[in-house]
Amino acid sequence: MQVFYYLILVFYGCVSFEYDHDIHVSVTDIEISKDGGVEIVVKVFIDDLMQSMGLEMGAELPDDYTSSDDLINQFLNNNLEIKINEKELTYTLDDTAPSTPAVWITLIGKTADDIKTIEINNKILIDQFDDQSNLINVTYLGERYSEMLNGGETQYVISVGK
Amino acid sequence: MFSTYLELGFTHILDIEGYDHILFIIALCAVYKTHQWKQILVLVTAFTIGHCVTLALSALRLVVFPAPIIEFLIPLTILITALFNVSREESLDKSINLNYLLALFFGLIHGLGFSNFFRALLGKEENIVQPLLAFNIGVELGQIIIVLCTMALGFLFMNVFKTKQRAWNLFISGAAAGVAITLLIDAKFW
Repeated sequence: MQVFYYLILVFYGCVSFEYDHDIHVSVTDIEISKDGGVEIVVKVFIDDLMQSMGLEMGAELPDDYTSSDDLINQFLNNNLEIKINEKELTYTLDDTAPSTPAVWITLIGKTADDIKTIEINNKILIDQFDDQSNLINVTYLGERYSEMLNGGETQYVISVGK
Repeated sequence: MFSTYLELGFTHILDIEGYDHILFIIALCAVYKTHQWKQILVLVTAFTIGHCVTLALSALRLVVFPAPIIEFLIPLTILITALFNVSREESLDKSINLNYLLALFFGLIHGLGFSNFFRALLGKEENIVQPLLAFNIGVELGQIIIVLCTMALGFLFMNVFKTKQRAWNLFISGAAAGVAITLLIDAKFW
């Protein structure tokens, strides 16, 4: 009889669960040097990024395609905004380095040297995956600040120099 | 930063979307009663040693396992634990050492699973020791919560509702085995 119950439970388990454990995470490291130089390194999974940009492996490129750098620039301009002392930081693409399964995107910018607030608005891939998480690490004057944005959160604000 | 990685480890093991680790710990504890807390402590320690070793080795890229294989092996550990639970003798003492060994060995496999997530969280840090330590402590804290909840539920059923230990074990192990089979079937390994 016990074996019978056991088999019922096994069957119940078999029909009751679905398994989806893919990892949807991006990491954004922002390092601000004393002279106001800003280096931003974004790590994002290549397949997720391609999906977000409307590209499919092996498929034809869209008609308006110019270069992968332009697509990445466009993607980040739409999804990653950094404000320092409430002023939007202008950054440019410096390098992309694929390291399967992720790609490392390096951006550089310049800001004032007297920083009071850093605001990051990060929407990377949250429109693609319900469980997308975006980790932000900021280093400024030797101090390191970290925050994981989950569940649709997009904003991280840091007050520094106090 | 320490608190961020600690929280990430804690929430990762307690994440209901990735319930495989939760299920394994529940299955592992199914054969114990609350008063056997010393044995549970040894068991959890064995599992911890196992997953700490492979999490560290994998995070430092000293061992590399393809994710699909790990995703296949983790439910396999749940299934074997469940089958071991239901096939064991009534007396726990006879097979208790084997249980510790299972926890240790299967901990090695679960550590590889933890490392997949941990590595995804790594940015351009030069030193990953601190994030690794914080993440590991977070996992341990989450693990303790799961054990405490499982034992509390077991206590409730066995002492308040007078459920027999064997019935409780069959209930937990049966459900765990069923879920594990589903995970095995759905694994990308095939």
